[in-house]
Amino acid sequence: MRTKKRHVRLLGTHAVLIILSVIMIYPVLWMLFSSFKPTSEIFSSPGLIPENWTLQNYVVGWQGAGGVGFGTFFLNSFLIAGAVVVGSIFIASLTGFAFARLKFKLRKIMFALMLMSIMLPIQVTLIPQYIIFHELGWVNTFLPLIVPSFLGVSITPFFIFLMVQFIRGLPKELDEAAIIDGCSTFQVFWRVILPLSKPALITISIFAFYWTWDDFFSQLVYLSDPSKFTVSTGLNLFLSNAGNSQWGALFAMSILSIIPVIVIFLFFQKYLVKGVSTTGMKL
Amino acid sequence: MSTTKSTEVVHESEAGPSEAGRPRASRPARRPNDGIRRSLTAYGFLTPWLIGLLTLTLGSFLLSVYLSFTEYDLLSPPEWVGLDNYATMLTDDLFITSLMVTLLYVVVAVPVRLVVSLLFAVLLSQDIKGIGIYRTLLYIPSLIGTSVGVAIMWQNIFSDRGLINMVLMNIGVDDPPAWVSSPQYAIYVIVLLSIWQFGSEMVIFLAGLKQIPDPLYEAAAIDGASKVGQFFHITLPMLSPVIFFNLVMGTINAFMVFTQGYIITHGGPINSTLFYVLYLYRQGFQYFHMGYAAAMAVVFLIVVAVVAGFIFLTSKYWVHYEDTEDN
Amino acid sequence: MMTKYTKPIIAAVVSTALLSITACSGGSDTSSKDAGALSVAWWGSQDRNNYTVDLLKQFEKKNSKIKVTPQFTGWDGYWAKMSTQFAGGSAPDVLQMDRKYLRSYAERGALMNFDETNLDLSKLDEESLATGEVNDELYAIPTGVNAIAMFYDPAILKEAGIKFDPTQRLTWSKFADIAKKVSKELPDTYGAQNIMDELSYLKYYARDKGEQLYSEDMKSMAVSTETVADWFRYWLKLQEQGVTPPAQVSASVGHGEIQDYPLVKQQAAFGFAWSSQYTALKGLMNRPLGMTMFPHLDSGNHPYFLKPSMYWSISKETSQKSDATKLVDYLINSAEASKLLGTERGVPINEDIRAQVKSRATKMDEKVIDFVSKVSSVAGEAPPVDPTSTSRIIDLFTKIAQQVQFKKLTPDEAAAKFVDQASSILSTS
Repeated sequence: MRTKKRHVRLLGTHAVLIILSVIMIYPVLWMLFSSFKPTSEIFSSPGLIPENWTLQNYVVGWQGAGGVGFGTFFLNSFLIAGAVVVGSIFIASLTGFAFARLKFKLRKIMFALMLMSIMLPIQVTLIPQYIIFHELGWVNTFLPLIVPSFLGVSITPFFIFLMVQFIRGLPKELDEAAIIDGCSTFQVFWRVILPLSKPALITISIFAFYWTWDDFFSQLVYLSDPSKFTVSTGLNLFLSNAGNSQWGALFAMSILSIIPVIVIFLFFQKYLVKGVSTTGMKL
Repeated sequence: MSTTKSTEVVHESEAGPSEAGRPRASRPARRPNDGIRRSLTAYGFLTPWLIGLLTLTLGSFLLSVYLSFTEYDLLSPPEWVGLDNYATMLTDDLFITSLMVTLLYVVVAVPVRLVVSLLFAVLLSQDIKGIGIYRTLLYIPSLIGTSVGVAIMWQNIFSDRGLINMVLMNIGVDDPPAWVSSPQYAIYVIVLLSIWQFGSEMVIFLAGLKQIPDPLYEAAAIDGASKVGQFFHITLPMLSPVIFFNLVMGTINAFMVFTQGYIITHGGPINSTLFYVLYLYRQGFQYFHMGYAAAMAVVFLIVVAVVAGFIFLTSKYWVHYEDTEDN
Repeated sequence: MMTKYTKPIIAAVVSTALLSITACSGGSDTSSKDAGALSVAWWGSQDRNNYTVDLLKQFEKKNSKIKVTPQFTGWDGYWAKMSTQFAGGSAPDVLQMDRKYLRSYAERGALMNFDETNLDLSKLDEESLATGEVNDELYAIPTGVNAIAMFYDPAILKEAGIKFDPTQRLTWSKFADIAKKVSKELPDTYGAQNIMDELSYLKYYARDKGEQLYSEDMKSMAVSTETVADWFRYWLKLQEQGVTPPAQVSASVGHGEIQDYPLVKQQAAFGFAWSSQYTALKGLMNRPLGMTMFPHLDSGNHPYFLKPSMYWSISKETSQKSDATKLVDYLINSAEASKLLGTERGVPINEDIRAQVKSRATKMDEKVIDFVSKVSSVAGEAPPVDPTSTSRIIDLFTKIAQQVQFKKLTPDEAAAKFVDQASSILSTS
């Protein structure tokens, strides 16, 4: 009797989730199917399913432009995003731990400064930062896109704050017990806090990767040499003014560009499933 | 309960150092009252961040503040104009418009998005078959970002003869508006787009939900608490640091809204989606008034900081931390 | 370009701090490699990027001592990137320039005056060349020219029972009649797209009335309130009669975003765009498409003018003036280069090159070249380069025209408001 009731509930849950998924995913399907349409069909015929299927958009799009293909763009994006993930984990865990667990002078002011640093729109800070990086000779390298993440600049204050909130959610008796046992502060951080912060660190990795992958403005400004272009600046190459844009190729490459992030999310999300504990928190 | 927990970890940390072979034993016993030393340890952890703060963050901040007192057209050196830019703002209709548009967006989008992402996270935190697929499907909208491709897609769905209106006309609504290009509704289409991309908040909530110890629910179930009761008495309080985080960040990000207005509606129609940062961008890069844009950024920083500060002030009444001390 | 002191101080602080972190240093070899290379920046789509890169390779082969680094992006962000680079002191040596930004860059001393170079201008059409002048000095060389055009869907016109003769120029009132007939005969089809909020078309209309849009000194509007009000009234009437789409549909059509055009979506018989957009429009529609001249007032004035599609400019700060000049010369005057060129950057203004391009042209290119030639036979003198605050005035005009379309303002109120506010923008900048 009870199992039957459970089955019905489970079925209901699945039904709700399927319906929600379809609604949420419809616009993406529109883009997916458009990527298989000839350009002349994308805007002039309203139907979702292509009348004439074509792979041409993918073939043309993949070639990129000026002799540099999307293969290179993907590689560059992976390199930058991968480095930013490392930088974000580095800075968020160190700084987050300090703010959440350590007592020091000026803590509140420092914390406020950290949060305020993300309240200035990049549209304004771009020029000053560009000048700094230009003086360092870093323009047209990946460094201006990577180094800030190791120093808690650009998107990383978000991660530091996230880490603070998560660590503050961990019972303090853990650290105290470790300290009584003779652990140094660093050991408390390394052996107690870090292992327990896995969900937060995975969340940070997913975001750091995706946001870097998706970032357009700073990549556009700092990278000039086409062989250093990334996926998002590569997509931009299909857009010209005066309507001479290549929509088909744009859609096709947009679809390809989200596949890596989907795969990464699909892989990592299982660490966020309740009940599949990996942290030793199970009692 | 807490004793069990700490014992386990203590075991873990006992095993640890000997493996690593750190010369811990030679250290003198720590004196917990040693404030200066604790500060030093903390600043050790903070060093990389401090370097970033003192160079990039402060450098670009001070330069921005300096520029806000100048007239700077990007192509010739800035000229000192004192408070002129700030004075101009007071009489600039578009400045007021953009501030109002942004406030409306923040007030509508932030709470709705917070509630929606929390509900989805609770729904998706269950351990049922295929949950990973559902999560991924529901997260995909957040992964496609806000590129021109997405803009085209939304224009198509919410246009005069778009999908939404096809559906509405089929169920008998006469003459529905062209949502995305009507001055009353355009901003709500953008709100909807932002809600559709609730994924990042959802993921943070998922991570937060995972952190809540199962025994709490088990104990409550034994005491006969209903699922709804558990949600309000366990989930919400335990999740409050994460809710707080999403509220603060959601608010800051909502103030920053730019791309949607820039590529989907171009700030229109009739400036109904002229967001603050979009107007700032136009002033800086299209009208060559970077000094004015910098002044707008300074005002922006103050406004957002005040709002965020207010949220922080309220937090002590509703955010529940495991470490109990106030931050 | 900041103040003299701030930049070095910050740079010193930053560099010492950053370089001390061993974990993240290790670059800096990359940028020195290209020192001495000639950088060329442009915006464009895949096609333009490809052939331009080929062109530059050809150029390098001919001038083995010069190395060229291409920097291309889409239109979106090109200008933000340019101004950042100029502000940061790392401007490209040669850059593609747009009419909207030319005066801003030239008047602020960012561009090289071509009179100071030895660029060969002898073969270039003088009238067109003049559109690269700011305050009587040549700062930009047009890559080619185009003109506004009226596009039509012959199938829709036929279905509506209209005999349309594209060789006859229509008056505005005749055009309104035809468009009205389309919307009356065919359900769910509009006569034309509503272009009330497009400033460049108002410029054309004002010239037909014998006026200019801006005053000679660019410090105020020269167009009369009456003309602007006429323009608003004309399009508002068509909108009210259902000949053009309602306000909220018109508002969804972004400037020049032809994929949004009702014409493309088979919802209207007429659309308005630039002649250079013919190929793109055709690509989106995949059905017969006609191109003809804009309607006019039959006033005896010459409203039509040739507009430079885009320009090549040289940055003032370049350290390779002669190489940069050589490159621009190659792009504008070289027969070899013209083989790769076509009309993608507009119809060339070098007479020889134009002839060569035409001899090799595809059918679609030929149509565009013919159209431009036809326009040039009736065109008047091109107006001077737009004022520095063009972007602001365009944004203002769009907003006010939309207020007319949404009936928040009457044509008269709106016209007065526009002329007044635009003039005050011009006078303060």
